[in-house]
Amino acid sequence: MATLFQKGDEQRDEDHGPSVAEVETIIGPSVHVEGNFVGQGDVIVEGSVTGTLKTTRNLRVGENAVIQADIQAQTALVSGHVEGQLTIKDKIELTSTARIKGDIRAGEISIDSGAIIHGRCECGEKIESTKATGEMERVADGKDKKSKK
Amino acid sequence: MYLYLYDTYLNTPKYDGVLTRIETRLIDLGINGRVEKLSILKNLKEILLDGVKEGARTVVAVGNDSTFRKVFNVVASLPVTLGYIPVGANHLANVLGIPAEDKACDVLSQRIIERVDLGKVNDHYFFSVLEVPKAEQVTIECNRTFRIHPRRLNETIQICNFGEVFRGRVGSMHNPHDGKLEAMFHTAKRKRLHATHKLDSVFSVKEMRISSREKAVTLLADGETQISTPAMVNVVPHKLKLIVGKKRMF
Repeated sequence: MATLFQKGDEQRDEDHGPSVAEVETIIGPSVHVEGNFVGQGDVIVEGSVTGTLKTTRNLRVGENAVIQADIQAQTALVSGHVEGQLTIKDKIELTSTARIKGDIRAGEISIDSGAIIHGRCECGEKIESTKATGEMERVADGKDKKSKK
Repeated sequence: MYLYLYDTYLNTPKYDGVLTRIETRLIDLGINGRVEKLSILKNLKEILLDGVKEGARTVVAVGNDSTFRKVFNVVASLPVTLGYIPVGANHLANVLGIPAEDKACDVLSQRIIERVDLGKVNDHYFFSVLEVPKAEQVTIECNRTFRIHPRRLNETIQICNFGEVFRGRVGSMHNPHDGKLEAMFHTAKRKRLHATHKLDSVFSVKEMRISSREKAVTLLADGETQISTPAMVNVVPHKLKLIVGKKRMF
């Protein structure tokens, strides 16, 4: 599985800010985003978000980020504070500074020592996105899909 | 038919030689046409509308970046192709791959045409960047789904269609064909008298509404035109037909 964001990529260039190559959206520490954010590309969150946050690609939540939103993404690397449901199609990685208050559903999960989770965690199952509704549904490996809403 | 618009500053003897060389080259290439010399007494829009009525299909701005800015805004709403012959100091020509003065005539005759996006703020088109100088005083609603509230002082916002081309800079993330605008938020760091700007946030959006929390804020389109908030900003895909050179930077 190819992920854009690796743990080693987290350092930022003090003079030039975060690397923007191939990243569609950067929510930096100086802004607050409110509402239903929907992205088609990679998203980096270093600031604060309330509402919902959806992207069809990769998400990186920085150490100082504060998110009060339900999240949907292809993959996620979380180092900050998230309050809401996380539905990740492929893999979610929680670093030692991650603080999650909400349920996690993901294909794969990796949790570093020190990460805090208040909520249920379902993994080992493939999460598929239904294109028409944008909602995610769970598919047990080797079994039929559950009926769509 | 070609319609050539000479900017006001070219009406001085200093530029007679350059204009003669350009006109000779245009005749050699068989693309000469009607010439209009702009002045404060002439209305650019009327000249262009008359030209189109008389059959002009290509309008050529002869002058500098400022000439281009004036002309493209009117040309954008007309069924014509825009060409550019740079005379004197300018930044845009490099980006478009157009050499200076009479050498630009060869680019015109080759007619490599690019259809580029334009940004639109209220009723005004912008080619490169819309700048929001007092960012802390505005709220931006994007695609009618989410709002961005800048939080720190000394921040500027650039809404880019095509980078800062009038300052000779084209960022790698600005594409005038992608049907999107990039809202780029910068924070300022002050060290004694110098302020350095750092890119903080980036959003790709098609439509946004900029409103101010208290007093109206003045936005600056293409570094020249001032527009007050509230402002509707959107991208108009493939709006401008532009003649470019082979060495263009996009």
